[in-house]
Amino acid sequence: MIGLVLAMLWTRRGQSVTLGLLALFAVAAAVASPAYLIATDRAVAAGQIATATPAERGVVITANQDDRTVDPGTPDFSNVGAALLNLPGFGYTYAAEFPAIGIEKDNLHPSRFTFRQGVCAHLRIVAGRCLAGEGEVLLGQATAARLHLTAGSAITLTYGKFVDDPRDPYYTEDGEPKRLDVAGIYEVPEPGDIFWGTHGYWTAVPNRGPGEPVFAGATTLKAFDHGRTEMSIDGTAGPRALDIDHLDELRAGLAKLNASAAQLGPTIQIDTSMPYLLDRIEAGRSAARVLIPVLGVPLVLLACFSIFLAVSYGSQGRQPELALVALRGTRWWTRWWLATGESLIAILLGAVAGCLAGQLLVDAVTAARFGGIGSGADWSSLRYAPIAALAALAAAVLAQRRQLLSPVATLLRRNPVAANGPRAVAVEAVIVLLAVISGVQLALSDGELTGIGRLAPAFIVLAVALLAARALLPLITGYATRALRGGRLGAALAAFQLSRRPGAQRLFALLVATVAVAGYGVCAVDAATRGREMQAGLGVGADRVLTVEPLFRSQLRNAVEQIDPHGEFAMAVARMPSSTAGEPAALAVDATRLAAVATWPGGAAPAAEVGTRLRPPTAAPILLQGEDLSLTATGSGMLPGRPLVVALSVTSLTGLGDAVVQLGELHVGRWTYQQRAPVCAQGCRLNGIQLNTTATIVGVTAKMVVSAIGTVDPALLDPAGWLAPAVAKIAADPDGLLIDLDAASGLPTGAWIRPADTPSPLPAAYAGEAPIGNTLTDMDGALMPVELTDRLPAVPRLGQRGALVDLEYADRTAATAAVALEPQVWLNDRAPADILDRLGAAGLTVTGDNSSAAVRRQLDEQGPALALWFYLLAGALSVLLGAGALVLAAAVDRARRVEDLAALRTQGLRRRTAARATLWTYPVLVAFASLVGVLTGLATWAMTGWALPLAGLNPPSLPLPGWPGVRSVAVTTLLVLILLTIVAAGTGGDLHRRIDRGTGN
Amino acid sequence: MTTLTIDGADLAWDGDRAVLTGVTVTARPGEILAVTGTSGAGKTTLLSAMAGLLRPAAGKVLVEDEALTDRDHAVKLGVVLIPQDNGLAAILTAAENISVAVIATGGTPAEARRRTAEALEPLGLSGQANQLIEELSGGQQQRTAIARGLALRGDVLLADEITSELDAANRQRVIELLRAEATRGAAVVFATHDPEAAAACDRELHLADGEAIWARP
Ligand SMILES: Nc1ncnc2c1ncn2[C@@H]1O[C@H](COP(=O)(O)OP(=O)(O)O)[C@@H](O)[C@H]1O
Ligand SMILES: [Mg+2]
Repeated sequence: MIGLVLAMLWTRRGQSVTLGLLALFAVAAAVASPAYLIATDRAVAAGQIATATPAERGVVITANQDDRTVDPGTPDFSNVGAALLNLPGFGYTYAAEFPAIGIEKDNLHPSRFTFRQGVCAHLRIVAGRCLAGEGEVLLGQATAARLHLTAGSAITLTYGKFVDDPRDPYYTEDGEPKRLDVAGIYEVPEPGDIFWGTHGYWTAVPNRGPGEPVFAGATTLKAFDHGRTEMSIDGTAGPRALDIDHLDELRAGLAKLNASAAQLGPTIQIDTSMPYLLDRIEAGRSAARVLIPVLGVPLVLLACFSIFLAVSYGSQGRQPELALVALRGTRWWTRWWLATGESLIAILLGAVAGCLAGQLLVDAVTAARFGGIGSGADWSSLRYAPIAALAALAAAVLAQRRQLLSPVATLLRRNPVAANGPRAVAVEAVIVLLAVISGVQLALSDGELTGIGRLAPAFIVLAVALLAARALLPLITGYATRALRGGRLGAALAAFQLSRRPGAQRLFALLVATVAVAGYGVCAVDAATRGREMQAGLGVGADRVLTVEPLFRSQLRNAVEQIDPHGEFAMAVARMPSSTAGEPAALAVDATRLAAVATWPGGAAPAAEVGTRLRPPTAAPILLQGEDLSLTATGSGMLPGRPLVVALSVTSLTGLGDAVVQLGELHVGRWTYQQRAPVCAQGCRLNGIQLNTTATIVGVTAKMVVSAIGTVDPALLDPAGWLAPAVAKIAADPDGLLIDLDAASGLPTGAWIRPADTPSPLPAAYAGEAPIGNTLTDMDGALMPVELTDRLPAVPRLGQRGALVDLEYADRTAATAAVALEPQVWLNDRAPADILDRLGAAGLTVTGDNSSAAVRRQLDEQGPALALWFYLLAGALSVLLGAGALVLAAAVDRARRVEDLAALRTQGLRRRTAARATLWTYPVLVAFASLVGVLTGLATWAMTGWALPLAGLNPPSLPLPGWPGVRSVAVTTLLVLILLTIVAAGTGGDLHRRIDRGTGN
Repeated sequence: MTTLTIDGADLAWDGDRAVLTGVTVTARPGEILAVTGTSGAGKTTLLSAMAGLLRPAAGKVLVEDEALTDRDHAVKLGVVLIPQDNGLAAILTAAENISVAVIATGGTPAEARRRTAEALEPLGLSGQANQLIEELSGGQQQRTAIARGLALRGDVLLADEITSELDAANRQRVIELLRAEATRGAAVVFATHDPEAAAACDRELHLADGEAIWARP
């Protein structure tokens, strides 16, 4: 019996090979998606580790310990720390520091007396030598120059204790002074090196330049009489710790570390961003896990579909043979075995090969795409192979159900297969129903790609393809009929061949579905690529975004002005505070530079126009000359026991900062108030005049006539040029500006009378929901009305909800001399290469450096991007499957077509007409299928694409593109069309020679 | 008025073994020539040669003194063939098969429609006009092929065993239709192994042992 089946296999070896190949394909597809998933798991980890920030690659344990007060029984920090930090694969650096005073002139910022293990290897000694013995220190180059110290100088330092005076905090000497020798002067070659950890050693000290610790050896520290010491252990993950195969151990180790640290209480603190890295890897993997099966499933389904088609073609041809077997009255299992054995053996052989092919294919693709992450080949992906093989077998058996179940008489009658019989309709109805159910499930679950919802794209592609085929074929038949009526035989015969060949509808549906899968894949890949572009562009805000140490907004603007006077490449940005829930985040930007620097959202008014609207012309600010401030005012109407103090808020014009200068209590009668303000040495802008109570008292009244402010033009004291809060009225007075204060409920934050040097309300552009009540929180933390000038699709960096105002105007409205929130310098691609040095020279200390390119790199290595490579693979495989089905169908058709056309040639059909009919049949089919297929892909994309986590499971708040670019879709259509047309043209090639042979021509 | 002549022809399919040798026969307009012989005697072979499908190994096939080169030439000269296997295209309906042939031989689409209807009607196939060939019974398929042969209005009509699957009434009807063709002026050649049918023809050529003998000249 086996011999018989093998003989059958041999006689129809062509068919058997095709069937085997299709089974190979189905199983390979089923194996490929899990195999790809495993590879992606590794690649995501490798990619995120490669693009991790230093803080994400290390753990810092810190403790503050005062050796003077600690009782001797307490275990040493270094022992505790070492015991805690038994994470494998980490390198550890011990460090300790305490404040010391004695060499710096002011006692507000003490020297950082620091021990850091292995420091010499990371410093360049520019004079003298590195540390050798007890009592030796190293000084930084800038510090030494500033203090006129050299290698060989002797210095004396004393432990500095912090005195927490709210008005004037400072450090004071506390302990035995220590004489120290300056062994050498150092320079730090790489301040950003991971060795320095997150201690901010090089962070600039205000008015002093770059921070430079005084380095000393451990014994020197011990011998130094000191109090509270900050001790730390920096654990830096080595390659082994961040090995993609040991991430679970790392996570467990970190959890254990946190648990044991919690037991030790608050004295020991553990800082690490490593969990962010691990979470990001996890997020990327989850997104990949959701994405990959979405196209893995249709691929297997389509392979089964083509097996079904292949077997039904084949078994139609074998029907008489099977009828004979049935006629002989053999037992049912013999009949079944003879009927199906041939397909089953072919499919099983194909399936075994498919396991190998799938894994090898993925290995090849991942090696090409991910490279060097190690194969990680576990064969667990093979667990899906039996399922796919069973599905393939089921498809084969299903295709032969007629031959298996029909009575002999039916088999003997060689009537045509009713392709549109009720059963075919029922199958299609079931698929459409599944598509509807899974689609509805997807919509109801709000895009959860789990359960049957995950199958939605597969079923929708299939259902749309089947419906399209059902709708299109009658149209083609109609066209053929009309062509015949019009006497166009070539067109008519080609079209009839398309619409009436057995299984035409299914072949068309299969072609449409395979192209649709490719189209869907391209939609996903292209939309995701454009999304990543947006995330890296609009989401970052500019090509490069540098976050700097907190400083006054005026200083930020001045520094940026200094490095880029013409507004070509840099823009100062600060965040606006927010005071109410539901208030959009807002950025204050240098609006004149918006167009040059910021990444601007598509579909918005041009950045230059928006910038202009954010910065309408306004009155010039009131400028003060020199550091000696004076105010001449006449006070009256103060209630006894409720004194008021007068202050001026000023901002340096040259980047010296902001200050609120107290002028003292408001006196009755005319008085000139004076105060020295060093920030105004090179000129100041007046932000406002404050009247404040010294305590929380209510019912404050006063009248103050300001008759002179320094040397300011008295004409500027016109009340029209000033703005007053609700508790005060301003009016003209023969002597100057009258301020009439009546604060029944007191002055919790003082009353600011401001020059009207900003538009009021302040113009703001916004994205998303408009700010509630058209108000935003101003720089002083109070609500201010804004005038909404532009609605944007998104605010750079902030995303779909946010607001933009002009930084200078927002700064002018502020009077409290607070530092900027999240000060940043945004740069475009024209920024010079040495921009960091220039910023440093301008007094800015960069603490964060983000760039579009870095974000793009990180996103490109993240789960969705890596998973979507599978979509390209699946798309290509799918089109190849379609091409295979086409070849198979053409091969099966060939005999029949030759017979038909030869018969017609005998009846007088011209050779040219017959050639046209053969030549155009499949190319036309392919053209239709490509077009309808891409449309089907787009339709499926419209229905399900939104649910794909193209930007991860928690996408950023950006107007991410939901659709692919027209060009990508067009190019894909064209490519698919060309490929399939070549295949189709190949199938028609030798037909007319064969036809001629049959007609004696 | 076209005469078809085979002059001293040897007919062979593969070149090695001749099916018929030294055949000389003329089909004259207005006459029905019966070609008889047992199965395998070479009736189809002879008609294939007359239709231009088979080039004789020796001798000539002449249509009005013009030597036939191939089937396309024969079609141009008005030689219509109703093949033994019907020669119907499976993807077309009965009516479409006829229309395609009419248009292919130079008829206008309108003519094709009219002649199709006219040809199907006498064969009792009006009801089956729009059925696919595969949906027709063997007899219906044969009658469709006959209808097409008639619709083409050839000068020479070659009918190869076209009554093999027909019942007696239909067989009679077909012979009447062939007679009508002859009366119209066509030279009709009717291959059959049915003596009764042969008897209804004007002349009879009998094929046996690779030779053609006039049973009734
Ligand atoms: N198309 C063909 N190709 C090759 N050999 C053929 C063909 N048609 C007929 N023959 C051969 O020619 C011989 C005569 O057959 P045929 O002419 O069909 O006889 P008949 O029509 O009288 O039954 C047979 O031996 C047959 O095998
Ligand atoms: Mg014959």
